[in-house]
Amino acid sequence: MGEESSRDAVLAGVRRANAGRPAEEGGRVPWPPPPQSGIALVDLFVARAEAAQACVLVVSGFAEARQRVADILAKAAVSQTVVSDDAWCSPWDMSQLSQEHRSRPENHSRSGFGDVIASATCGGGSVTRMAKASGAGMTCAAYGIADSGTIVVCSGEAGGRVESLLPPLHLALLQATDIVPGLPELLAALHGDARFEKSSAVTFITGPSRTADIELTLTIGVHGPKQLFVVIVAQGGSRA
Amino acid sequence: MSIDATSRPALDDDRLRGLLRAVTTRLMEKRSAAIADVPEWERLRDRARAIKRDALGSLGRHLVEFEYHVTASGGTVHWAADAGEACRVVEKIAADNRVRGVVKSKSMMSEEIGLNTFLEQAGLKVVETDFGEYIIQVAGERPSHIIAPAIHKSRADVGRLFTEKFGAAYTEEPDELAARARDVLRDEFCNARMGITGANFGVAATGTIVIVENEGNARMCTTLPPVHVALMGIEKVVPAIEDLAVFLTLLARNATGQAMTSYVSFITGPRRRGDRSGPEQLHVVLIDNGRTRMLADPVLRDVLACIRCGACQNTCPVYRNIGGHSYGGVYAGPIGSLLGPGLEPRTSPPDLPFVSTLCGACAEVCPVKIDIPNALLYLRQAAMAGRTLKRLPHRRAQRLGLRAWALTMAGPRRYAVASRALRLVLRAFTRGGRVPRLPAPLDGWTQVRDFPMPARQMFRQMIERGPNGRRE
Repeated sequence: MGEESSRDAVLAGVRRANAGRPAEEGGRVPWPPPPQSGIALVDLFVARAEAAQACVLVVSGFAEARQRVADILAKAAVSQTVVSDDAWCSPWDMSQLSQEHRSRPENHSRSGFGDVIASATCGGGSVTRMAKASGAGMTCAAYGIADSGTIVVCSGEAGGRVESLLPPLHLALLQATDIVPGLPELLAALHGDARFEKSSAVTFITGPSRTADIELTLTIGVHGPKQLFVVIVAQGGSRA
Repeated sequence: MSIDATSRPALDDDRLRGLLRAVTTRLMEKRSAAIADVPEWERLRDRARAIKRDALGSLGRHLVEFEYHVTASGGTVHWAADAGEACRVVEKIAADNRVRGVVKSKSMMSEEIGLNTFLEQAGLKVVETDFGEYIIQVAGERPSHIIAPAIHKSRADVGRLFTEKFGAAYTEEPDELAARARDVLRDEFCNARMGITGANFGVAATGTIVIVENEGNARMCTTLPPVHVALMGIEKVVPAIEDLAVFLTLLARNATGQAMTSYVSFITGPRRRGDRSGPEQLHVVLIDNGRTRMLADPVLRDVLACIRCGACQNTCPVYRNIGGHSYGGVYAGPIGSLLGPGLEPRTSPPDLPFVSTLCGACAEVCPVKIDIPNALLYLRQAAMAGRTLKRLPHRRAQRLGLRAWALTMAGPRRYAVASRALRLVLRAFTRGGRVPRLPAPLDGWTQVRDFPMPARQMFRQMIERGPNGRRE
């Protein structure tokens, strides 16, 4: 049977099976109102993300975010970091990361971290090779979901797919104003979001890669990153 | 083969049963803790069920809409009426792209259609990349649980297997074993020209497929190879992106006790113009393979709502003792006893619907409220009526027994006579105050335990003689 006729055969089978059945449209059970926890969204996000073995830092501005990011990379002695374009540019402006880190007096005597590379400079195709050879990858998160401590990364021209997947350490940058309470709010927001419409892969990331396939023993970092850092710029953070 | 025969090795394997009990118990504990966090849980189950019923009721429209949007976003949709056609479609995509090696993430659909064997016979190298599936593939076995395919393997089993296979020093540390698999599979991901995945959901309104996982191997399969093929049963379509809120709230909590799995990928078409990573081609294979037949059945159509969380397996007293391999098919446990006869009525073991105590635990935990015990009863009736299943063990004896039972229950006098007669018969088999052995077909009971002795006095005698009528 050819594919074209299989299409017709399957659809005809479906319609025959459903023929004469009353339409069940409109029988939706409404989504129950979310319980009022009274906990601030950022706090809930931090608690849930940490429960999923992510490391979360809440900072007050973008300059502080860069400092903390540099500290993380230096502490992990990361040889090379690949950065998606949206993290490279304003407001996060990670292009200045190495210079800023070196210029701080307390870092003069310490060992730093290796190259920080924008995925845009990798050229066609080779961003995958670059990410594979990197010790860390950095991306912007479009949203955070407080209820589960999840970040949402949209792939696109700015990158996002391999930077958050191949290096053993993933650093995600999130603005507190982008944190939504739960899945219903997130999916409603995605619906009208141009980033979602332009993205071939939107990924929800909750903690590091894990498995429990041997006797349900938790093992961190099977294929994806072993470590996930989420740096949150709190509401009202200055765009310095 | 009957389950009586296939479950024998598992029943005789105390180590396996200990392993099964430990893992399934832990999964159920984690589930309980996770759903305690969601006070509206029961209403969410109702909502999930309603969405699935609606979606299945308008399945034709949703499938056409899904196809339109996948195509509009640059992907290709293929249709397959059965397993063989689905395999041929995948092989053709591979041939068209000169693919020799394939990386795969976990997909029950690929098991259902026997894809690995088919592709290997066509000369392709197929590598499973989910850690549990990888273990199973290296061992040359089949998965025994929907979400924990290697549930029947202990750490020592895997340690020995990896040492035999790779010649590396023996270790049974899960971390080290996972690291070994990671190293091997990293290269496979980067070299493979095609990645094959399943799909947990397909969204009609956007053409998005949703893949739920923890390891990141599905992300690798959908990102690194230039061709991505997603296998999807036609029943997986939901109308809108907002519908996923309820399913993603239920699925991970019910399956593993996680609020959310590590990764949930929304894939809409292949890489876009200007993207620097992602596959150049996306193929979605929509597979029927018995689903329209189930849809036409008034009872089995509800089974198509299943989202493959595996909770019914974890809670089932039968599965917990005999394990997944005993069920003799792709899907094990309570849901497997419905999907097996539903999807593969000719090859499914004839006594599958009978491998249940009908205790109802599966229906209690089902996130889409499938009435599994009722559907099992429905299949039992069909089996006894001889409509679908003919090779049932003791079918004739069971029918005779049930007929005799109906006869004796038809009047009080008959019942009294019959129960007296039965006491006499039992007495003939009594040895030293016990009933250690009954003749076939009742010997199934006495193989593992004594039959209870009849009470010294029947209830009816007690009533007739009154409170002071005792002989003592």
